[in-house]
Amino acid sequence: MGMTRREMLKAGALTVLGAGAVGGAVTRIVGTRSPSAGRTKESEADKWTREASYYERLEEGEVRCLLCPTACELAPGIRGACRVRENQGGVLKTLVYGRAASVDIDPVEKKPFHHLLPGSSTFSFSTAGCNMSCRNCHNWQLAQSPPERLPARDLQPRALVDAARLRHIPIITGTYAEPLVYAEYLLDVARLGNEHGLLSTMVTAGRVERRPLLDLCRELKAVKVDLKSMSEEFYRTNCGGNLGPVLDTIRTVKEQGLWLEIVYLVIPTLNDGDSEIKRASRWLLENVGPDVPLHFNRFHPHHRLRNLPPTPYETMDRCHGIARSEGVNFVYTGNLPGHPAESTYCPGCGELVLQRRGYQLGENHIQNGNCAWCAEELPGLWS
Amino acid sequence: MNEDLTGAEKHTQASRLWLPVVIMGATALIVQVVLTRELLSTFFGNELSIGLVLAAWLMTVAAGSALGASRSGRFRKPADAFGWCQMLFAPVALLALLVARCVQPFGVLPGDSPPPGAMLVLSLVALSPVCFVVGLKFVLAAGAFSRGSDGGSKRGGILAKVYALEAAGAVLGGVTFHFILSDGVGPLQTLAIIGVLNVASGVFLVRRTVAFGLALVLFAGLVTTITGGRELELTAMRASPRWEGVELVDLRVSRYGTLVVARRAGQLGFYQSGVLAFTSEDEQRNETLAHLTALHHPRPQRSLVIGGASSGLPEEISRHALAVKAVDLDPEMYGLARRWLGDRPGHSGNMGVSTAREDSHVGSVEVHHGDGRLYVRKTKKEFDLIVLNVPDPTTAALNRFYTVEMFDEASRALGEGGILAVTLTGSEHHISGSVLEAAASLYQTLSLSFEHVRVIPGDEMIFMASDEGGVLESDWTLLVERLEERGIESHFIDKARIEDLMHPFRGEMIVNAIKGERHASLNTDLNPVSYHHQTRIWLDRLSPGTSRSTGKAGAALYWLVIAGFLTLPALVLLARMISKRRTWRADLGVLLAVAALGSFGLILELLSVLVFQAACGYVYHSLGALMAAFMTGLGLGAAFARTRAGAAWRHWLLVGLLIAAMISLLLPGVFAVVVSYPSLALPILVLLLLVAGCLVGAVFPAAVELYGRDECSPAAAGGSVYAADLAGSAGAAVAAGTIVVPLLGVAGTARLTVIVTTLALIALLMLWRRG
Repeated sequence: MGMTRREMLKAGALTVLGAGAVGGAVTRIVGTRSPSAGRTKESEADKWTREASYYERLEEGEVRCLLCPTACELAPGIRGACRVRENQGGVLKTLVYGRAASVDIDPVEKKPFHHLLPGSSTFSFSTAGCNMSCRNCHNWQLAQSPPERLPARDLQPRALVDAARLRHIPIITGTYAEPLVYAEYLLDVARLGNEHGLLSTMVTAGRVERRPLLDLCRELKAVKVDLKSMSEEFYRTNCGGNLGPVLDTIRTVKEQGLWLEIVYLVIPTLNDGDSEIKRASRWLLENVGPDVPLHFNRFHPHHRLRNLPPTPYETMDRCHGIARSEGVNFVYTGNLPGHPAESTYCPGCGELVLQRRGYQLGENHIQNGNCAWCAEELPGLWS
Repeated sequence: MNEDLTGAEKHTQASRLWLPVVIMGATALIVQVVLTRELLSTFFGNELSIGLVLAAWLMTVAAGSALGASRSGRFRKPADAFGWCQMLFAPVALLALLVARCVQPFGVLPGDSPPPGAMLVLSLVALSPVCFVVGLKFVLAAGAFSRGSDGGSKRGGILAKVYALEAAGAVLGGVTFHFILSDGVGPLQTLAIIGVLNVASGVFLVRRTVAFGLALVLFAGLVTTITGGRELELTAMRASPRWEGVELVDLRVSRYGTLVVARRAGQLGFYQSGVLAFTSEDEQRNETLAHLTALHHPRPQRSLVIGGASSGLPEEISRHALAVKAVDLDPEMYGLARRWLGDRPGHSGNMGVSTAREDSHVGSVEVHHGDGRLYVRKTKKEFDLIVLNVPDPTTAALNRFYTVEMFDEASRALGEGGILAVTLTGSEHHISGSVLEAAASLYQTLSLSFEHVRVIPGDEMIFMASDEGGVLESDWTLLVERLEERGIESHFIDKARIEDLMHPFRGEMIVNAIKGERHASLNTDLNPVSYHHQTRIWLDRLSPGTSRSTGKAGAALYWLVIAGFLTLPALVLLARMISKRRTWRADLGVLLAVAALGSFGLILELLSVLVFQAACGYVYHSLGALMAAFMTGLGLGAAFARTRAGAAWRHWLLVGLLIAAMISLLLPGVFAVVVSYPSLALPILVLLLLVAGCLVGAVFPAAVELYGRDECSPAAAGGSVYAADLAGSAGAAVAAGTIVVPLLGVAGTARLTVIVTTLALIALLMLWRRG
């Protein structure tokens, strides 16, 4: 009664098939999810679906997305890397027009914009999706999920602008996840906001093609760009992106005359070296000048980098010192309330012109955009 | 096989083996604990990683045993081979430690947690050589005893002797580690100390010139390692890429893990078993949690902080309350923090802004070392504020702080209008998926114990619970008033920040989503779901949407596939051996039965720990007693079986499975008694584990006796049965730890064990009938 190897294999295959069948049945029975966790019916999703503005048609129903440098080439039914653009029958559609997965009111200092209507609130909104995948992302649930997995509210541009106006909020900001992936939505919000005298801004990581960026620059008033590092390696390993397009975006935003601020999140051991901070400061000086504010933000353990400590104070001071000594006029530290470098100092006389502590403003010595001590003109949108 | 030895020589050879086999059992257990701790430091251990490492250990031992069994005929002098393996074990174990410590999984950045695949690969790479030797040694010991026995000895009896001696060694090893080595002796030193025992026992068996020479070299290396002390330990740790960019300045070994202090740019980070516990310069977290919770209470006079006594949080709370008690498990960590941070932990920043605090009132902080949950259980109506300052419930051990029972106990410990504050990692702007499920589960669980629950969204969400509604409904202006009244100057919590965090519009979507998940699962001691939620969050962080796209059953299948993958090498080896024999059906039945009993034993241990925790509120100090009871049972059972030469072994196997099924059937009732009468918990569970251990231990020789009949040697039979036993345990370790217990609870898991053992019984009967 010995068993041949063939019989053994047959028995093994049958066992695997049987286990698979049982597993499949169990999946069907147990796998039903609770009904209230943010799923969206197809018919509901339709109202958030629009033809995308930036793509080209290829052969056999394929399309190429022209929004960001990833340049996804998508066969029918396939979705882009950002998870919010899909080829539907040879037409590239955005799936998140008016699909707000997060809405909040924030102090403008939180974005952070330090030279844009200080002390104001901003009406912040975001859809799902991002074209990068940072391991330290604070909004990873939003950024890394397809829209149908997230609870969302229908907030078409008109409703969004009305909501901000109703609360007397002067600024609207596309933020949290990556606003570039919902460019069409943001553009229409900004256009409508302009009609009603609201300032529209975005907080972005800056990986975008020139054409959509120029379209956005025509409608937006201010942009904050995250410069995550000056290293291609860091962008590749930690962010799933690349540095070149980000630098191009920073240059373009400045050229187009928008108010620009830069944030550099200082992550211990990963992007906090002296030479890297020096390179970032020099590049900014050479390409956008000394008056673009540079914020060094303190890192806190989050998302996948939960076992790194917060950025040491000494490192924050060091980064601040390097950028100042390189000649950047407005260098701030973020996530460190009470630090003197939260406040604005006049580059002409060195006096304190706007005191900040966290989101709270103190002494204000800015008069019509000028230093009250020496009359030096201070760059920014102050009123 | 052993015709060339006289009776006296056989007796001498057998008696010489006793001590080395006991040492084998003791050292294998200690090496397992040390290497598991080291790997978990690399993986920042959650429950899943614990299951994976345990399963990788068991399966590679099983593979070694199975391979040894298939080649057992080739060892002409198994006692010598066993001795060489004992000597080899010391350097191999040290090498495994260095691999576990120094190999950074591919594509994983410092501070990043590796994905399950990388964990599995690193576990297998680090553990395979050492586990392979462990598995092989069992077969060789069986072969050596067989050679040293007289012809009349039954092979079941021989194997029972090895099994019993190994189990006795494991008990001894467990006790030695728990009471001596775990407190103050570093991993390298521990392995070196037990390495000396291994080398000595090896050379005692081999007794050749070359062995003495090798032993001298090994002794020299091991003694150097032992005398190297803390400095050597630190040096070895500095070689790890994990610590790149930081300066390791201090190291302590406590029974709860290896504690390390790392410095970078003046900031000190305190790590417990590789996981960042807290840092200096972390005012943001301390101030936010302390002030937001304490400001909700009109007059917080007495506060309790559970966990993180040295993090600086108790001192921050003491600015509101006259008296703060902080309960922390590990006195070593507290001592380390005091040494490096002084009297005001957490406030060593150089921002030049902490001086303002010196003017404000600071109450007293009294630190009590012990189990936080036990402390809460023993306290009645004492506190105005209890802050649970423990990490997210990523493991079953941490889960116990987030259960209905714990919250009930906290409710009783609070005075009128008292507040319990609990934190959970979340998000300030959006919540969905597995994070939402975890938050909703906590919300619903808290709601069962308290009348009112309030959530403040944030990267670290704060859940506050109280039986008095008005306390939590305070609006942000009242909190600002109280902040000013109490004269508290804070960097992170001021008027603007309180308004930002507490504004009604702020986080509305998040709070509504959490409250809207009314069907979220409740977390109880006997249905611990929170650590399962955390495992799903962790998977989503690595690959977003994984947990949702797979669903619960998908996740179950995922882990079953992993369990299957782990058991594959041993199964292939066993199948190859069996397939060549006439009696393959009967043998397959034996192996199935042993695997089922192996999984029964492991699940019973796991459930007993959970139930003990549920009944008594703590587990650390009784964990050793519970484990020792099972191991003692194994030894006693095997020793008893040895005395029953000529027994009806088939019946033993059948009755063994039947008893296992019956014990499993009775478990829910027994556990109910344990939970109802906590004072009886330890004796009842010790007795239960002793009986279960006896059962598994007694069946082992029966299985060896039945396996392969006349077609294989005692060593081959022993190795095969041992491999099946470990394979069953490994499958249970992954499946029960990661998915079955969280999904089915303690009672459901016990019922599933009834089904598994009954199916094994039926399979055994059918296979024997046809074979």
